[in-house]
Amino acid sequence: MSSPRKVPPKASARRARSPRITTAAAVSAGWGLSEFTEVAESRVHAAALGPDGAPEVVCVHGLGCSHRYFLPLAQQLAAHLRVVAVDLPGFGQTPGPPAALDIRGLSLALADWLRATRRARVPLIANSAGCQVVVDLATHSPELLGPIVLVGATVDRRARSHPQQLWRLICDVPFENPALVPLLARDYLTCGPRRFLATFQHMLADRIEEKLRLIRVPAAVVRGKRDPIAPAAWGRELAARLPAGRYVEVAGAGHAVNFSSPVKLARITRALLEDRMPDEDGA
Amino acid sequence: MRVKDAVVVITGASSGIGRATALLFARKGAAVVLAARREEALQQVAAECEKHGARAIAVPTDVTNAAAVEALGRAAIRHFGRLDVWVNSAAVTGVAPFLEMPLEDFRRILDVNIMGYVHGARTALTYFRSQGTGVLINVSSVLGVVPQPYGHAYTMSKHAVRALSASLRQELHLSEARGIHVCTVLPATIDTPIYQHAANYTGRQVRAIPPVYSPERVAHAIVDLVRTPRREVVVGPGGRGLMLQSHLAPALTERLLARQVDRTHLSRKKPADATSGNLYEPTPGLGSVHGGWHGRRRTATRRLATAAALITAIAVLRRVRR
Repeated sequence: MSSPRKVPPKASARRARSPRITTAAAVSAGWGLSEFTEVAESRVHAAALGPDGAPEVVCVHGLGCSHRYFLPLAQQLAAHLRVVAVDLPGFGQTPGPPAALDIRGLSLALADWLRATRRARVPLIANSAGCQVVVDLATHSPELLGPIVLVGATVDRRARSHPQQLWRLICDVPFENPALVPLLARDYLTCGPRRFLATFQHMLADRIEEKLRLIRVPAAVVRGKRDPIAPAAWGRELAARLPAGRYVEVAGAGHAVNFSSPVKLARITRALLEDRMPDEDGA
Repeated sequence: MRVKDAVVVITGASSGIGRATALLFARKGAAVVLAARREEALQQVAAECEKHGARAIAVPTDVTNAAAVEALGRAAIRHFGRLDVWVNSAAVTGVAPFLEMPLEDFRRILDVNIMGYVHGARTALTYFRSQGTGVLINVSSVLGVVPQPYGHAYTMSKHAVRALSASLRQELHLSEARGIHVCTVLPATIDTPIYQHAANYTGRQVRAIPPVYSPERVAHAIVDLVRTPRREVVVGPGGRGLMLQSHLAPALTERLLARQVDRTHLSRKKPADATSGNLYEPTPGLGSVHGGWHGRRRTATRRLATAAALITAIAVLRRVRR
């Protein structure tokens, strides 16, 4: 049995102060606006795109990534929705504590931010490790959950080891839009190798499949048909474990469907939000 | 598992064994989440825990309400980020001749003592499974092995708790969840206020059957289980003797205990009005660990008597030998 870690500071104490939210011109190319919220012992950055007052969706990034690789999806959705892509503490433009947060720490921070920005029940779109963070919300703050889109959810319980995951990540590269490589390289450098590896370790320790039964809201499990990181059997298992889960595959796509097949993912997202059954292949 | 910095949920933390356990975990540096129906009593316990330098929150909970128990688990996660230990200790009791126990009361005792534990176990195991680690401790009783007359619902529920623990252990064994443990504690008679809180339709006052042990002793056993999980632990040598006796001579033990309950559990001098006790409404007040049955004093007296007997025996033996 692993020894328990130090108990993190009381989350409620962090929420006690009323948070300060400031907006600025977009710090990131292509986005409409940057929003900074002083919450979760940090200054949480979120990039927004889309008309003011439109219904919002929130995007949650994966390991080492940031809001940036959600831009193609945001551009697809921006006609009718306001897309807000948040940077979790330690990633993108949001500073993090010296020691990397575990999945619970990230989900508590996300919960604090959702509360502070009054985004309870806003639909959530998550990719990869972001899915673990979003699912973990159900363990402490289920009241914050709206409809959920889980894209390429990690970590396949049949391959919970470093070498397997690294190999799968390499195998995924040919199926992604080549522009993703320089974009991610920059994001990985921003978060730094130490935080990257520590977060990876926390991801491997988190058993997402045991928490799915706590999610009572409608949820779609989306995976690219070519995604080696989240294989079909794993995607189907996740959807089956969700009380209100659906399973959708996107033809020809790899792991980062939001970047490489944004049109299809946008269609699936809209279908879920309009409470239609998303079609196979996102068609 | 290390007790220091562990996050521990305790149901029934407003009085008796639950309260003693909460205070001991607090002294050992754990963060405690206190659950019971009475908020004022819980606040009092939380303040005492904080005096030991521990972090404590009070979450008023009726364990028969599944949603409330789930919320209790979420409160632990929200405040402390984790859940390492869950102690099911909230229980009620009632005594009456079988046909005179109101059916509603009977059902309520089973509901609190069995379904309350089921709700706790479901919540705890959800988090334990997602972490791969955790210790669930169910407080049963020696009455979960040897039955008593008049307290049918209670003794039935304590048998059921043992069965629940064992069944969960089997399931965890099958799913190879090696970091998760389920333990049962079987206390003998403990000096807690449960006897004053009992529903009672016998017309006679309920008293603690000697030998009486202190709740702190059970608390120590529970904290030890977190460090070294074991299947079942009996607290109090009297209880261990009773278990052995029931193994060797079950029919005789059944009859002897029936006689003992009739003679010492129910007072032959002091009458009592019919009452549903704390089944539906918690006893008002700030609660307490002890029930005034002098567990500690009685243990000390017993120890002194045993020591005296031993010394006398040795002295006699020596004289005889010479």
